[in-house]
Amino acid sequence: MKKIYNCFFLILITFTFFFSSGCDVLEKFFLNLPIKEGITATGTSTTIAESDTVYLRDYDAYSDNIDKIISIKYLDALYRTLPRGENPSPPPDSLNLTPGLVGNNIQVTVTDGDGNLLFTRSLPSVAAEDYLTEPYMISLEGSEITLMNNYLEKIKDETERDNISFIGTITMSGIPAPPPGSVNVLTGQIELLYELEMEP
Amino acid sequence: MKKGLFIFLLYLTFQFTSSYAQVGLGIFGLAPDDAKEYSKPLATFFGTYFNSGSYYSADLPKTFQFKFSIIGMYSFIGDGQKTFTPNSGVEGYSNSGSTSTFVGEKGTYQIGPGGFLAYPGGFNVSSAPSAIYQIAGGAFGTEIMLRYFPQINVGDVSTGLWGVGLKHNISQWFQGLPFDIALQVLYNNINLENESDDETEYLKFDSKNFAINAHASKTFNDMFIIYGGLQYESSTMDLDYYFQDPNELYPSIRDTRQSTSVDGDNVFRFTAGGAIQLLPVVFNLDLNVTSMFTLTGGISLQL
Repeated sequence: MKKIYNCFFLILITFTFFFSSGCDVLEKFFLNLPIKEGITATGTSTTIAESDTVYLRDYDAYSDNIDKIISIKYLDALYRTLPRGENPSPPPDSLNLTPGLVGNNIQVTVTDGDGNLLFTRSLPSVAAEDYLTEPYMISLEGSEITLMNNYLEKIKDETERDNISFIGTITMSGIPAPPPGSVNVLTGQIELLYELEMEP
Repeated sequence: MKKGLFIFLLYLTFQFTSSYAQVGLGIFGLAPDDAKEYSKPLATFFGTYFNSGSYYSADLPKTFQFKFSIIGMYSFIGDGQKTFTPNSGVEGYSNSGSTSTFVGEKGTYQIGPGGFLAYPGGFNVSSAPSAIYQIAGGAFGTEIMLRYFPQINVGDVSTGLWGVGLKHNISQWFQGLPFDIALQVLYNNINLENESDDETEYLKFDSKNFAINAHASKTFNDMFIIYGGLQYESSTMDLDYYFQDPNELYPSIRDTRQSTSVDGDNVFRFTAGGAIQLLPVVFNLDLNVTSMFTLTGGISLQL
């Protein structure tokens, strides 16, 4: 009888080994990470502009899983106008978009954290409100995507991956001066969408 | 042997907690309606898992019998389980197309008035091995089966499971039947809670699985058994999680705990298999045709 018990135990151990080698069923995980950065440009001159820096480490999906991220790839980008934005000086006050704000040009520019230009676009409409309900899709060219993805290779460098950042700038020019005592306000948002490839 | 068994059980628990806690990675970014569909394959898998391996014979002795069994399952996940149709409920976003579930691959994204609405991908799982142990005792043609693992903590994750089954050999009441027939009812529960200091990682599953089956078996030369059965089953998984709203489209529920209830796809199952009795050890293997086709193998010590 003891031999039978020993036999049973050996089978059990074999069974355990089988499952220990077979239970690792989860493969790479892909997570889409939207980076949404509101930028509020204010001023009384005919051109208003504002820049803001966003760090990937400020996003939980990135910072919580940084050791598991194998690669990051650019997916898409857009600009849209917000009805209300954060007052840059001083936050956290908020400011409303100036009604009927129209100029000669609205420009969106994104550089990487090292200051290299990734892309810049002039929007087809010069009326800020046209992008309140319909975002403008920023279609990047192949070379621009390559620049972006090359910069994102920093994820593989443990000393650099905490500092991956982007600087977004919105500029509106050719706008009429505001009435005395008020300012022109452009409340815009640049959105960048990335795909994180992670180990399970 | 006790030490080996303990290591085995602990190992299974580690596998379970480390693997399934990761489902949160995708769910945290989904509103409840989408989270329900995203995690549905997990509810189906729990049902497939717990409602497997509960029998290899309909024959039950009138004298006392004890069984200890280790059951291994291998479930195949079809393409139909890998995608779902998004339903964000946000005005201006599409409710068509498809995106990945927990077991799919890449998530999609949509563009609407609020900018990007990005969906998570999955772990690209096509099959899932699993295992469970159980004891059963019976007499007078009736058997009670128990599955139990105490609530334990592995890091911030606590998990535990229990299950019970009741089976009765009805063929003992009829003379001259060429095979044995039994009825069986099963109920199994598993829960997992990830409660770290970081509230944004809160996640809890509570899976309840019910099954009722009729099965039949025929024993040849007291050694070879063929068996088969039909089973009705249902699985419900209550899901609580912290909603992080990475798309910034749900200001009213952003950064709050959300709850939803997920029904698995498993409803009916057909089982066919065979067993070899080398008493007191019994080996069995069966095929289960259900929403996730599953192979089940077992080793039982039958006294």
